[in-house]
Amino acid sequence: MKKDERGQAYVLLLVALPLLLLLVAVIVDGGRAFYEYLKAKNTASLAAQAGAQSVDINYFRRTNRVILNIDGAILLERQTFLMNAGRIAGEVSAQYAPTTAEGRICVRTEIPTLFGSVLGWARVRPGACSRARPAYGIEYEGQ
Amino acid sequence: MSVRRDDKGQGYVEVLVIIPIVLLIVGVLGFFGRFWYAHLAAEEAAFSCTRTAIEALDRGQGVWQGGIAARNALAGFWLTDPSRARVTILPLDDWERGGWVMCEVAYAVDLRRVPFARWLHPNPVFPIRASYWGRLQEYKSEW
Repeated sequence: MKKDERGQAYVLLLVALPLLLLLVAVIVDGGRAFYEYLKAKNTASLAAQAGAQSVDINYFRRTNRVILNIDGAILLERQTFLMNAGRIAGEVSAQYAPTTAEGRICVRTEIPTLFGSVLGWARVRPGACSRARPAYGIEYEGQ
Repeated sequence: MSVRRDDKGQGYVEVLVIIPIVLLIVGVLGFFGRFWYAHLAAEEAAFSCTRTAIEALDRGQGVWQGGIAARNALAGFWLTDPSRARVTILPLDDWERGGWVMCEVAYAVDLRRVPFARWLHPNPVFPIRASYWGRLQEYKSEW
């Protein structure tokens, strides 16, 4: 071995190490972020579904058409969100925007990273929105 | 030859120093990868369970449907032994339309077969839980 080839493996390691650490950061922090995203998505989905149950009964009785009571939809979405929000890490918030046709909600969470902070991503904000609507085919009250 | 006597085996020594570092990184990747994967599986199973249970009209049907949905979701993730998962479905009060139901999936992630997992933890078996609250459907909905 020539003298100037000594320590070659260390140099290669030094080059490869940031890439390996980046991979670790993606797996660990990315996995955690995706996990929180999934919880936000599922919570939003269940909340939107609950919101879509707030059918305006008086309107239905008058017209035989199904629309949502927006205030009631927001209340049900908020309740469902609060029931599930305790399991989501970090700071978590929700926005409610139902229309007369659909229950809608967006859930957003903000979590600190472990390895990502070294690379400049101190926090990530996974979030998801969902919407649901009463199905067609409701023909009588209580169906 | 220009090889000095004390340079012989230099490459081997360098590789010997580097290999544990690389193996540790590979171990961390496998460890956290499997760990998050099992978490995601449990989340999806709990969500499927809740989503299916809240569509049921009575407790017996809800528990049966929810349990099947959870186990099917776990089986879809190809976990080592989904039959070890414990699925619990509990209503907050009576099983009535508009009431609340919680579905919890508990599973022990066994990482003992992951290479080098014991470097990171002496007994790499971790209990994980995932649960969701859902509101029992009053009306059919699309979501």
